[in-house]
Amino acid sequence: MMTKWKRSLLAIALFAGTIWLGITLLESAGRRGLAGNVVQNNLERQTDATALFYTEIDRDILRPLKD
Amino acid sequence: MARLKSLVTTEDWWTVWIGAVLLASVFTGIVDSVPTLSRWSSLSDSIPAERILPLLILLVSVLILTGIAVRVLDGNALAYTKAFPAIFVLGTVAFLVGTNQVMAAYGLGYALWALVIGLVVSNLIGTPDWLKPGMRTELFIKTGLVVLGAEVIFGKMLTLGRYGIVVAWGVTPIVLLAMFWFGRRVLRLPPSFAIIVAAATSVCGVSAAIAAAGACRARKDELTLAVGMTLIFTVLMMVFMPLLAQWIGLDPVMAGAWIGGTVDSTGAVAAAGEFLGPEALQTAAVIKMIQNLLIGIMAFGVALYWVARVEPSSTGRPRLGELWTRFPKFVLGFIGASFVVSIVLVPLLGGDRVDEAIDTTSDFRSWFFCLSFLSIGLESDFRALGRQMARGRPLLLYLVGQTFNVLLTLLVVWLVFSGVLFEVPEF
Repeated sequence: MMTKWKRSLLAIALFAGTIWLGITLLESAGRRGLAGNVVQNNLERQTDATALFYTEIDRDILRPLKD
Repeated sequence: MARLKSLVTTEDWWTVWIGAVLLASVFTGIVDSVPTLSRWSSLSDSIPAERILPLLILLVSVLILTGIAVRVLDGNALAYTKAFPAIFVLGTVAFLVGTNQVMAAYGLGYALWALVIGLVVSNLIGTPDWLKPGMRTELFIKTGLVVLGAEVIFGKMLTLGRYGIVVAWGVTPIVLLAMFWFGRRVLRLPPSFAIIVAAATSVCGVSAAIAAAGACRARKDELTLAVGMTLIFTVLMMVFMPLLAQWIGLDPVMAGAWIGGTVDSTGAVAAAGEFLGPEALQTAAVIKMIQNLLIGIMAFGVALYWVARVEPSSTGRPRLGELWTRFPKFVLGFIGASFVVSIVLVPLLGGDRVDEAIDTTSDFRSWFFCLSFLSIGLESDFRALGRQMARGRPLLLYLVGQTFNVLLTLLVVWLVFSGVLFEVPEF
């Protein structure tokens, strides 16, 4: 039976490893276009697609549409 | 007297006071920046040494502010003080993963990672007892929402033109109500879950889901599931909607409007719009912004509907006093912040100064959202989530609702931007 400390360390190592592997695989797939053209474009232009609200994106984009 | 006392004895009112202190500190210039993590590609750049002290100051400041509330509310300030730093560190890890350049390109931000880290800790290790007093989900979530209120500026709605308003405001309420009806009457889902998914799909993704969940006092596993589904489908829609727009043969303006009206989160909207060019990007971002501004009206409507119609009243039809007692007060804080910024501060300080201040308040808001998602993850377990997914009905609600949203928005976009109703807009 694993102690709580060992289980915690194992979970941290697994999480960090999974994230590292995820970043490596997602980057490779994204740059080759396997995740679609939008992700490829985002990686090339370093676009951040994580904004949750309009105040987190570039304000210059938010010009009104002319009537 | 009891009502006056509730101003300091209820968590809802405390979230209003904390939010007010945070906003006042920024708009008076006492706080001019909130530490965040910048995008990084190699681990050595992930947390620059000069950010560590500001992060520690933020930890202590938030701990003091929220600790006072915890002390007054349930007297458990010492246990909270012991647990909060660990919660904050886990939140920083969520930000760290979400700000990685690759994760940012895929739209996998801190909200997702805070949930995942919380779920990993609670389900693989088991949330330790000493950490539990720090998991003040309601306090974090509602404070974040009060601060978010300052970002909803009424004046912006009037300057955006009739095109965006017709697309965003014409479709959004119809999709919201139709999805709620479908979730309740056809799929027999709990009303709180149906309204969270409907709000996320029709308004603006995760932030709308949080606002709706707070307004109807939803269960945490309901919010976890709704946010998880929204985040996954947002990435898929960011990838496929531009391709679909090209396949249909929409011009960039119509494609942008369609994307802005349907893709849930703002970041994904901007990325999908950018892929189709500057006109599509501008149209998509403006439409999404107008949808974002509906969040306060939606939260107020949901809160009022819930206390009046959904939650059972002991005396049948609730009286005005009872409605007031049960109404979630943080919604008033949200709307109050929005009013004060829109009506007092924009004319007083000018739009540019307010925009600068909002850059800072939105960082405060992100931290509180991050801490709340982490706490939700720490309180959720996979078995409860599995039960929620029973017979795939939540997924069906999202898929049917989003399909309806995509088709209805396409029709309205065509009516508005093809010259049938108005002249075609210029750029």
